[in-house]
Amino acid sequence: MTTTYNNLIAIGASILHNSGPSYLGGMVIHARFGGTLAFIRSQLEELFPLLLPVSAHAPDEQWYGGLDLGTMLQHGRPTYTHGVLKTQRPILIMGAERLSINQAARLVATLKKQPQKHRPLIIAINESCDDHQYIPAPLADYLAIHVVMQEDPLIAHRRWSTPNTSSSCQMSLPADDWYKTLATLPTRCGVYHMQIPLHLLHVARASAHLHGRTNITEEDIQLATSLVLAPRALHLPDDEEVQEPSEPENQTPSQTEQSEQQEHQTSRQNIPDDILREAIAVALPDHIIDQLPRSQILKNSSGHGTGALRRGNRHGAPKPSHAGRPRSSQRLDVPATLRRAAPWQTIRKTGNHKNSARPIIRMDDLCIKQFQEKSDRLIIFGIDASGSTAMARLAEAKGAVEQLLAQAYARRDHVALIGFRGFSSTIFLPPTRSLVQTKNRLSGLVGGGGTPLAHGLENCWKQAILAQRSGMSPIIVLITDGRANITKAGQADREQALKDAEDMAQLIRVDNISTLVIDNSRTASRGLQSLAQIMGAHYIALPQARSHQMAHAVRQMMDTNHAPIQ
Amino acid sequence: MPETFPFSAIVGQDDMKMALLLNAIDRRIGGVLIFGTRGTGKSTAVRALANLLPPLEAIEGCPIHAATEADVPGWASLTSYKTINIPTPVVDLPLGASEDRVTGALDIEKALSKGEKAFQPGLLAEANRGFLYIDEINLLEDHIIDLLLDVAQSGDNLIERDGLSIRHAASFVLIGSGNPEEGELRPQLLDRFGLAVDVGNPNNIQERVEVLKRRDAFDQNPQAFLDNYHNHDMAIRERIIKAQALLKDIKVPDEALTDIANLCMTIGSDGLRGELTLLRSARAQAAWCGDEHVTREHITTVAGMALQHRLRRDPLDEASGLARVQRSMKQVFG
Repeated sequence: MTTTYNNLIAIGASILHNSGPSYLGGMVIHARFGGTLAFIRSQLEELFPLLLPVSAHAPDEQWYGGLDLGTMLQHGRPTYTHGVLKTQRPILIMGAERLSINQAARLVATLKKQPQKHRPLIIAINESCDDHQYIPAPLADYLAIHVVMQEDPLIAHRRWSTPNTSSSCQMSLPADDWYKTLATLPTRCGVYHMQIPLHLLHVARASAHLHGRTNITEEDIQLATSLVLAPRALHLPDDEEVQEPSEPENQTPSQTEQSEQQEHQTSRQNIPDDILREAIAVALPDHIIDQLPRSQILKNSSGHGTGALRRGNRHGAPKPSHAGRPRSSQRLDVPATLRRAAPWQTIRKTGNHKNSARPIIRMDDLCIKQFQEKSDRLIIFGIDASGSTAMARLAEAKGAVEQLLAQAYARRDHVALIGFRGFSSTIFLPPTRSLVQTKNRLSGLVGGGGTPLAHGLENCWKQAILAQRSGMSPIIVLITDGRANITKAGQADREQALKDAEDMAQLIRVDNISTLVIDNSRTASRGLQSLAQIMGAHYIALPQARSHQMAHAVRQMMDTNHAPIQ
Repeated sequence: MPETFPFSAIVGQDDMKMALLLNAIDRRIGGVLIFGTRGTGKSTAVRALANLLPPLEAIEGCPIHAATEADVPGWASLTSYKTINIPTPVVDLPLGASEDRVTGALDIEKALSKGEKAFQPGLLAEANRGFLYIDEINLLEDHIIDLLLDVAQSGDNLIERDGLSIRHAASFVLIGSGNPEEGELRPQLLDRFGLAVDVGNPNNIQERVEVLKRRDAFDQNPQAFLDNYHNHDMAIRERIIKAQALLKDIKVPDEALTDIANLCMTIGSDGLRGELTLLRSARAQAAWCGDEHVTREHITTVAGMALQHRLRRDPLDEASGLARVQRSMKQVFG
């Protein structure tokens, strides 16, 4: 039997099913919307008959419960709704990447407060594999099993193989060696989070349990690695990079015995390592390997899906309240509600309510408070790190970005970094407010190679669109000499490269994204000037680029051009 | 609530544990800010601390856990004033909490169904005389943080809204934790916390294995694990109680005061908050060690956590606050 990834989903699901509410938390499935996902969903529903689908945009009351105002006003006594987290039914979150980091953090905090036996299983589907949207870290870390679905048109005809489940049996504690392997393997794959070894252990144990064994075997560890570590690994395990602190040598009675012991230990450890390495290599789909550097960046990034809206937009000045149903994010304006209901009291006090002393309030009287919200700004730096931008200029560009960062930090702006060189561009840093991260990524930016301007512009544009969708106001700051010589497809063709760049510039113009082009070539370049015109961008030529000049230019533009032209 | 992991079983993370204990000994130190990546035991430590804290004497049923009858607020409408022992409150502030839930507000249920104007106390009332814990503090709405810090500083919660005008005591130790990679805390808020510690993932194999073993043993059989560590936990509690009693008799010699002032001046921390916190935490440290005088050793032990977040900081300076404090200590103390 070849282990296909969709088979891993089946195994993961049956492990969850068999172990019931447990420390596993649940499962993340990376899957694009389509027939395969629909089939898998139907299988999951068969396995978990009580599976409760919840949208990522569900209001807080649906998650956590709250006061049911409608029923309450009708009956005149408080009634509460129970949140889905309290129902103990397994929960299916479709499009979980759209959860904001705040929601995810709150969800996990609430789950962790419930006794382990009452925690519902969570199956989170990440439906956008190519949109650079990831399930927010708090939730992704909480869910032990991560699997990647593969499109498979024939899935319905394949055997959805689930191992036979076994009845409960007492598990013995794993051998010491296993603890060590489990504790060190993740670090060797670049995963330092302490939760991961625990997840590995729990899944290995659940797997042993599933197969009716009382102790963990290599097979279980291998499976756990495929389900827990492989999708999270940043690279294949290196060879023993972590050195053990040197052990005091004079304590053991005889040298020979000690070395024998060591040999014994290493031989026992080496076996699982090879297997684990293999397990990871097998479980990594091809495109995941391509995405490794990217996922490394996104791993630490904060949520930047549609949900960023609420976090990004802070409360502002109060505005007059308006009619509407309060949700937990909005406050009920009690005086306004009473004021609205007051004129109707004589008319309403008929029939059953004739002698009622309390005011009669209906749903449509309810008023909620409103605040004027201000949209957050995102500055996207597109930095040309090609060979044609002389090295010294790159250092200056970095200097400019650093200066701007200091300002962005004070103004609580979000920042993203995109660098382009060689044959493509890289998102060095997805939108973040974290200065620490920005600084680290910026210093890691190295120069050299061709100028894939079109690809760089495309990435800037994508980030800007994502930001707009989540309610931020993006500004692109492009620092380049405009000597495009790599096409969007990554071919070395100067003419086509320029054309591609112009196409992208059109797109930016159409979507009305504020852009600033900073020309840092030795002599102002005509091509870049016309490109800036196509984009509708402000163009500043800085033949003698000095970082503080650049910073000043951007500052001026930001102050005058606060939001994109609507 | 599920069982909490015992405090004494937490592997490593000594700075964080020390900072929490110092605050348990002297509440006036002003709270702790714990910064580090997820999974480093931040919330585990805070929840574990709750089990260690010595019990409080309070009026039964009082919403603000008042110690005496005179302190019970009028709106509480209690009928009997019996003093009982309660566990020191450690209140969790959930991320989605609204301002109403935090400060307390008009009781909407009563207002709408009975037409009565009544006050429903919030989390600040609940946390009075105890600890208020905010996980992921950097994700909390800015206006709620402002509000919390104001109250934490004044010890008084004033509600002026929806036709209510109420004031009640709200003195609590604020504990915040967060992950700097997910967005930083505004710099002007940093120095409102008494102490600040950074926690990281354990980076040696032994420690990682030990964490894994203990956590696994706890998950497999919580009760047995708790029984195992009960005595260790109780020993820490005894030591806290002893230190609390000792605290007021600890002398701070002039040399120690000079050391503190000297260090703060060299570092250039703003205002006097740095000096005061350093003094209080050094004293609490002395009490913890059972010493009668504050010595230079006590000061150097706590200086890092008391001062590292108070430095005028250039946002682009690579050196961490801790390194700068240590550098200055070397300079001042030789």
